[in-house]
Amino acid sequence: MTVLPNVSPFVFATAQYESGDWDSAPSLPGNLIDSVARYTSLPVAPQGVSVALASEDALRYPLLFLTGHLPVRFTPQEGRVLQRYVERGGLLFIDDHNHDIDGAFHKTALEEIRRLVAPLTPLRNNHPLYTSFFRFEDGPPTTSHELNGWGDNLVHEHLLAVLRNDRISVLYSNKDYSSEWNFHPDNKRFMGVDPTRFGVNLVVYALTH
Amino acid sequence: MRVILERTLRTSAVAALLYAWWLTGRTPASGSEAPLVADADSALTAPQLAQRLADPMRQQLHLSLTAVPDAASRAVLHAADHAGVDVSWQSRDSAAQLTSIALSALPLADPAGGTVLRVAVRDSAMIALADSVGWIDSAQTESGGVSWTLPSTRRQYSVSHQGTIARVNSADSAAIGRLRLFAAPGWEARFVMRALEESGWNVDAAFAVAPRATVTAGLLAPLDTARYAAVIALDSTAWLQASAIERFVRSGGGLVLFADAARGSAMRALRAGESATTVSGVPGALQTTAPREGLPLVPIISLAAGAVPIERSARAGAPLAIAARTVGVGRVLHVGYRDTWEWRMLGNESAPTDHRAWWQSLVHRTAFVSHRGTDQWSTFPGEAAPLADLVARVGPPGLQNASTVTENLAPVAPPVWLFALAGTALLAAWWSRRLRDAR
Repeated sequence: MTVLPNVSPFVFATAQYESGDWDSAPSLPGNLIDSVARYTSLPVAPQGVSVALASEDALRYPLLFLTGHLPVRFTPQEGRVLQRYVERGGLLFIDDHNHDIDGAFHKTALEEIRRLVAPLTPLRNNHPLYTSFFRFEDGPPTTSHELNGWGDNLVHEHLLAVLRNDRISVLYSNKDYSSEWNFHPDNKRFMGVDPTRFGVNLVVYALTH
Repeated sequence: MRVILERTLRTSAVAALLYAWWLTGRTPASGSEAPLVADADSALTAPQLAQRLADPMRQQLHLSLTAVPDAASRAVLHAADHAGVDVSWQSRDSAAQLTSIALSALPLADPAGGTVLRVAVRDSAMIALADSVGWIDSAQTESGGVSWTLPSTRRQYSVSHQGTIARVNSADSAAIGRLRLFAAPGWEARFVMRALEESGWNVDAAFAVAPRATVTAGLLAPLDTARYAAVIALDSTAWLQASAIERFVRSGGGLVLFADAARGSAMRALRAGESATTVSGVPGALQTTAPREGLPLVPIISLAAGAVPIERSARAGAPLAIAARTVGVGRVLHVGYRDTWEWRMLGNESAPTDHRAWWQSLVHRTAFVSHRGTDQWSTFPGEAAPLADLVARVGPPGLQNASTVTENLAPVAPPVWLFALAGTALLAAWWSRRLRDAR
């Protein structure tokens, strides 16, 4: 007899910040929630939440997703909460919706993370993140948006990260997963490979490491 | 005539000093026909005892003590007792018993090392703790005992109270196993692993994330005390391994059993009590100095035989939050709190440190430690419990035989009046010579 553990469901949380367009990928949360429910047995809340980074409520969600196209300048309160969040063991996933290393989001986000947490460095492609559920032998999966003529038109071989005790505290992507995963879940049936599988790895990694 | 008087005075002074010197070197007379009765205190030394017992005619030795003799003296008494001398003792103050004190030193179940010292004292007392270097601390014991957790490991520790000293040698080395976590993937599992790994523990776990997919952390090995120090069971994931966990605990392993894991019948033999209905955390309490009041709690009720309450919540009805019991030779800590990760994430500034320290303390209380070195129990009570050792060696306190003769074993001190006599005589002789202008 299988007994389901009494564990609170995972809630996908998107960080709101005052500068920039934090809600630029509105279909992404529902799509990732669908994938987590589809591929795993993890209890997951059917609705995601948006939580202000300036609010202590952000600490209730140990995995936070942050995206945007525009320059990022965290307010002092957002900076304080972000520092507490990382020091206490939260995992912040930042995705550059521009996929452009010369873009405003990329430059300012890296500066802000360096200022508030630590410099982002390349994450090795055999990190447990890439095998926590699906196996990505070559590191982060490429996206169709990396070479779509927008942004820097580069395939970024590594994600960037800040590690604490060998665990990811801040994960940064130039690969534009915000565009790649920003579609209605029903459209997965038209795809040969579900591009959100790496998002499942991210959730499983966060819940088990 | 005056010269004769002065000479007499000088001679008297010299005679008084010689007598005092003779008294100092004199050993107390021992009636060889009479049994020896020693009236001694903590100054009693083994050589003194051995000297008194050298007389083959000694048949009886009674000690009136103000403190427990040291280890060497107890050994002499033990030898005399076995050699046919009737050895007995009693407390000099009949209204007060000698200090009963016992000390143990065990390795702390912590990868960083350390020692747990536990002192048992019969009554409330002020005791002092020392190691091989010097004094460390003192404490007023309550409820008959006190314990210290020390980060270092010294070769020897001692505690003293009213002249009685208990000593123990610490273990030469300790082998600390890993921890095995049984939990579903979730924030609680994640932050429990983090807290323990930040404290230096190696934590092994297997998280079932899909029907045919498991994420493992660490090195999964068979559950035994050679590999693991303790099991942490957070939820019903542990039920499938209940029999292995019970075997592990019965053989000495530790178990930190959380409410959701304790509920099922599979854990009936291990839990410290039954689980009541969950009580919500007190809003805002995570930010206070009593942060666990802010956690959901599954009160422990109907304690199992032998289980003891450890911590009660301040919530209405003072529900029991933590209880402990032993199963076989292992220890179980039954914890009623849930979602402790919220304490770490939402608590006050010290919450990450406090949460980590609390988790560490849960493991400290239960984990199995294999240690090598001086086996303090093979010679128990020995120096670890001096009064118990005295009783073990020469028997319980008893009154001396009424026919015995009291003898004071303390060295004979020359009376003060002898020095006063000598000084007065010399002063008088000097005064007399000055009166007659003699030099």
